[in-house]
Amino acid sequence: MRPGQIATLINAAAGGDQDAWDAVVTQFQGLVWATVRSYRLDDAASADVVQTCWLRLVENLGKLREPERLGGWLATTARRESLRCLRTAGRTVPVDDESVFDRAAPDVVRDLDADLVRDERDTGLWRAFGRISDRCQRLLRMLTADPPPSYEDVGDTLEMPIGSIGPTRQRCLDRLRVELVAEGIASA
Amino acid sequence: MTTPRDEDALLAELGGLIARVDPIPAEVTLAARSALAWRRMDAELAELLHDSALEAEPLAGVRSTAGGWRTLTFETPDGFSIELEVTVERSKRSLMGQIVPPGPARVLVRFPGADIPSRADELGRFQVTDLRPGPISLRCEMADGRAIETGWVTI
Repeated sequence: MRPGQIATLINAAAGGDQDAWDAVVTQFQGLVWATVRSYRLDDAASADVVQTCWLRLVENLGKLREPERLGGWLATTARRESLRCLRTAGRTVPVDDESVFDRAAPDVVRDLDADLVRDERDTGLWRAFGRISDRCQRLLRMLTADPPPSYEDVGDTLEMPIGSIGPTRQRCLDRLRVELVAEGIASA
Repeated sequence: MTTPRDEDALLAELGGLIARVDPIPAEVTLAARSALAWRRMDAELAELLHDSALEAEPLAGVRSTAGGWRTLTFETPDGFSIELEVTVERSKRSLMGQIVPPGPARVLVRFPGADIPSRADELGRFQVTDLRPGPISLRCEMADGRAIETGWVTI
């Protein structure tokens, strides 16, 4: 999105313009979803947290200080709401190391049957992804959001200096490649 | 030695896989679009000042307990506040609230798509039980006509 465009859409949405609001949703829902899912909330909790983020934006439409950093604002809200949700008893998922893989995997186990995973390479890539650090998974999930977020938005959300995002991305992809090789999958 | 082009290709492959195994559910998009209908028109906003669930970062290895409670405080710029205790029991939530300064009020627990009406007594206390988890906002309509709505929180 061009600079200035987000502010224009936000102003229009604040006045009740549904088309402008839909455009904001289209632009940022991938980023919000990626952020929430990287905390491994279940489907129902994910949906609730995402909805809370949008409702929170609606209540703040008229007073966002930096509309151009809306992506960072939304993803930070998503991150904080996800942490709240994890801390609220009754919805918490275990986060001990042994179950990390199991928790990362259920979608794939289910979706394998649904033919959404095309082949062994997909399965291996998903398993490899589940084995890299949480921080790497979060960064890579955010970076693969559609459309991809700006580095400013990523830095705001993960509390990383913008200059370190590129090198961290490279390290995380290197880790992923190592795990791919461990899966017996040749990487380019 | 990998090249930037290899990295981009791997990231793109991962992105394609994630998009297939964990797409945004259609109902999540629909709910996001409908959120605009919840613009605050005639009420003052009481913002979330305190949330016991944010007092500490979650610790690795912490498991959930069967039940628990959480305290939230919302406040308007001029000091009108709503204190809320959320009791969590599996998939049910209960609220105990206190309006300060105390006074009777009509209280609405707003879920996207449904309002659940309640009342605060002469001492500003209210209670709502058997709620499902989800985003909520409280709307308090005071006897003097003043209307206050809290920020949205997921319970």
